Amino acid sequence: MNFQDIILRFDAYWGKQGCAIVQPYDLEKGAGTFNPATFFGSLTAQPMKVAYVEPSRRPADGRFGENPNRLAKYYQYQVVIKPPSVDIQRLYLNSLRAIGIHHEEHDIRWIEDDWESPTLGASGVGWEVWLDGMEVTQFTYFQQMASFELNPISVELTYGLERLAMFSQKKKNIFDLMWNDCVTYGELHKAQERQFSHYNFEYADVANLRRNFEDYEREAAVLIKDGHYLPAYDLVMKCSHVFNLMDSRGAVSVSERVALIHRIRDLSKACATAHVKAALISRSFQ
Amino acid sequence: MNKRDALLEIRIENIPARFVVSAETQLEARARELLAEAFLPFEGLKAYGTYKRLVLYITGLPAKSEEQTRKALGPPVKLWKDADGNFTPQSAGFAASQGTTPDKLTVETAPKGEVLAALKKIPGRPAAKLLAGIFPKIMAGLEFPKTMVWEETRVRFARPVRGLLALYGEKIVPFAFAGVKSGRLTAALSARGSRRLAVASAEKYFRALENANVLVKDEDRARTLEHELEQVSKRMKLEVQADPELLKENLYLVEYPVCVVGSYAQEFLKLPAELVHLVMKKQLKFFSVCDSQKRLQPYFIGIRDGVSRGQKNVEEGFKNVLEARFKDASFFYTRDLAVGLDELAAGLKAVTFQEKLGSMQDKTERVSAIAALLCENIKGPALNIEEIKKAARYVYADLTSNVVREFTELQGVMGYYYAQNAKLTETAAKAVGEFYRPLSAKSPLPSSPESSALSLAGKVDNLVSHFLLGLVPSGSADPHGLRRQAMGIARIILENDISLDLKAVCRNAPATVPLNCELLALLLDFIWQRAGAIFAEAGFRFDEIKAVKEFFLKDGNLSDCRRRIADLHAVRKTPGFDAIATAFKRAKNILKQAKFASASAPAELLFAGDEERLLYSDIRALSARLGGYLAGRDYGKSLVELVSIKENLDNFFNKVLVMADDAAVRENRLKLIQSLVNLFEDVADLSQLQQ
Repeated sequence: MNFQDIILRFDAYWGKQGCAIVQPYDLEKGAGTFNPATFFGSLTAQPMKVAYVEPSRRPADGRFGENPNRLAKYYQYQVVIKPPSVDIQRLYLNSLRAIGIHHEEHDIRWIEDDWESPTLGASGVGWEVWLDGMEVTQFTYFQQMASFELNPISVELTYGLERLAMFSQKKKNIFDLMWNDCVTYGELHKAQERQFSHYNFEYADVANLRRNFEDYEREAAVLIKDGHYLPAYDLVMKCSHVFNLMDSRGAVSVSERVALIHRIRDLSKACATAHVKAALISRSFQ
Repeated sequence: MNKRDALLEIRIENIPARFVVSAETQLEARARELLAEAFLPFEGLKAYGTYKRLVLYITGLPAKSEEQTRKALGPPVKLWKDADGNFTPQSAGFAASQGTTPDKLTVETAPKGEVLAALKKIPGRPAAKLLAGIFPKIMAGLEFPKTMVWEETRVRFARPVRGLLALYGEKIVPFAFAGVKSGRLTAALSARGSRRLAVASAEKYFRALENANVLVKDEDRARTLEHELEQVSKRMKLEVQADPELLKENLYLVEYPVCVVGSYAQEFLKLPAELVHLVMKKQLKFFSVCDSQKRLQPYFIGIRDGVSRGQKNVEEGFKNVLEARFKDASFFYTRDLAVGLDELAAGLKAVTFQEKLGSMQDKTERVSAIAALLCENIKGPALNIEEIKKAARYVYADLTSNVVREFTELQGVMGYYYAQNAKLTETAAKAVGEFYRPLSAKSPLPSSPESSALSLAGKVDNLVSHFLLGLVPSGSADPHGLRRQAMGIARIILENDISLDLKAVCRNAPATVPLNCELLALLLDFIWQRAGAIFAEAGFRFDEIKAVKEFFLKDGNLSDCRRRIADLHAVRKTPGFDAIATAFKRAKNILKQAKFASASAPAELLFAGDEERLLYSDIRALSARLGGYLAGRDYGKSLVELVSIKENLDNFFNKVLVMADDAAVRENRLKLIQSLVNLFEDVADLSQLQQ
């Protein structure tokens, strides 16, 4: 199945399950969990069903477009449901059927893999799902977000779209994937992978990045103080991406890494706290 | 009464393999406890588990719990009736409070005298009803390495509970847990779409699931898996390596094991066999395949769950993933080989061993120095010291390699390959490769004297440096694995019969400060405890081990101690031995009570009778002979000789009063006893023996 058709089928399938199909959030981020729909959405009591494609950037994972399995930017398909449906595992298997993968004809394994994101102060319990030995999905019951014990719990399914497409199209090289009937993934992305690898590993100006980090952090703190936690959270995402870039430039020492992660976590925690408070107030007015 | 079976099946979203066995044990223990509390007798119970369900099966439960009689004690007997023969207000009141009448009260003897008693019968309760209380309690009491919440009651469990099947015979045992109500439904194999099945009765459960391709019983799955692997071996005319750990893990990844046999590219056989095994085992849980000479063959056996539809898909998928993993491993390995052994070792400067113990390079230097000490000290066939020195420089080099960073289990093993690549001799390369051996109480030892010496050096350094920091294991905690190190030392020395003064080696081992006497004694005692476990397992008795301990603390020679223990154990059975041991104990006690200590020999002139004279002549004759035996470490002969003086020794103790009134005679007799004790004490401390 073509790459774009997998997305369209997932949208149709999860839309039918009652999910709001939202669009990617227009900032760089390391994983779909950063999307405000998930970050803020998981914190409050209101039920939620949402699905979206999220381009994710991991600067240090780039390989100049030369490694058949590695990308600095790739696409996650993310589904978040709160509270989790009791038949969520079956819903997941049916979603594979929706993209032409009949689980009865394959080996599906759920390998224990508890997830955590130190920068978001988040953790969860769950699995990697293996499809004939290939990891294609991260399946997580969130337990904490921004250090808050969550109630109710959200379940998050994160599909690796490239992996699923490689599986579906029986391709051994990401860049050979068919995006649609005429264009390959490589034609659309290879130049980007090559140039961004140079940027991520060689050009990104570390002094500039450091300055950016400080600026974003300062500005975010002011915004949070005045109750504008949504733009503040944009700046938290920027901090996180700037940190990842410094890391891929090899500019972060072991002790500095811990300190920087702490600073991002403190900011995201402050945004989350403001959101939880606002949600409580708006509920008490209803 | 008609007995029926009862069943609890907890269906969960995939529980990690490592959680299951402990959950089974807990299910059984908790069930026994709670059934006993409820007076519900049963014939048997057993727990089973798969990655989808935890099952408790109880056989032979009666329909009702046992009737209980409860006895309540009341006022004294004399208050039963008054002088007119009427029941008193006290007895009437007591009877009423127990729901009976005063005429039905009985008499019991209590500590304060005879009292009135009421017997109350508590009728048995229906089993299904009791189980409805017991099952949720069992579930709530289960402990897992990690738990989670997922629904609004916020109960914690290993993974979300999605179904409860609870039956007593045909009856549903009604209860709820984590928002799930119990019923009679179970689910078939998930690979077949988890079809719902109604189970008619507890007794029909296992058969119903077997028909739905689920082997609930762990042992059934184990048998099927082993049988499948044997069949594959036969078909391939090769040997599937049925690694026990891997067998066990796979049992909890599938509900009906089916083998997927595939092959991989020949080029990966160039990788070290241990690395190939580990990639297959750790990352994909695949079994590897060897020929009859244990040479790796390019095949894998994966285990899938229950069905063989799409077998080709799965085989191809497995193969692709395996080869991708091999490619990663191969990339790391090739890079390590290109970097070379010396550069890997140079990287150890930057690796901290322990904050206060310096870098791994410092550690390497200490191990080299200890190895040199050991070479000087080990008595026996000459060691190739040059090879040991060469190998010592590289024992930790592989810690900086890419492969070991990815697969820490391969430390040492990879060192061998990198050493080989660096053109070290086979002896030196093996010494590097076997440095960490033995990994457990039964696993292989270093294979050559050179490997053994180097491995001992590493372990001595670990013990000495941690003891110096006061990191002495206590209780069950042993975060630095020092017990295993000490066990390794004891095994290498004993199983190779190496004659070596461990005390001298530990005392002279390079360290920031030398070990003081106290720590040294503590360290030797620590090693002795591990050695003691080995001796005990070999069938030697506790008191025999104790009788020899002092020799280890004095000379640090474990294999000599073992010889002493073994000889003591053998000679102990000869007639007269017990008597001689008793006599020795008595002699020692006399000296102790008299607070006597002297090195000088008794004067024959002061002997009053033949008993003293004969004993002394025995002692002198024996002393001359024992010297020779002891020099040849022949403790057996020494002990036999000691037993031979039994007659004269008995006569002496029977007829001679040691503590004579005459001071000179007394002292002379004490000297005689002292010379006797000295004789014995060179062999073993027989006073430790229990009759």
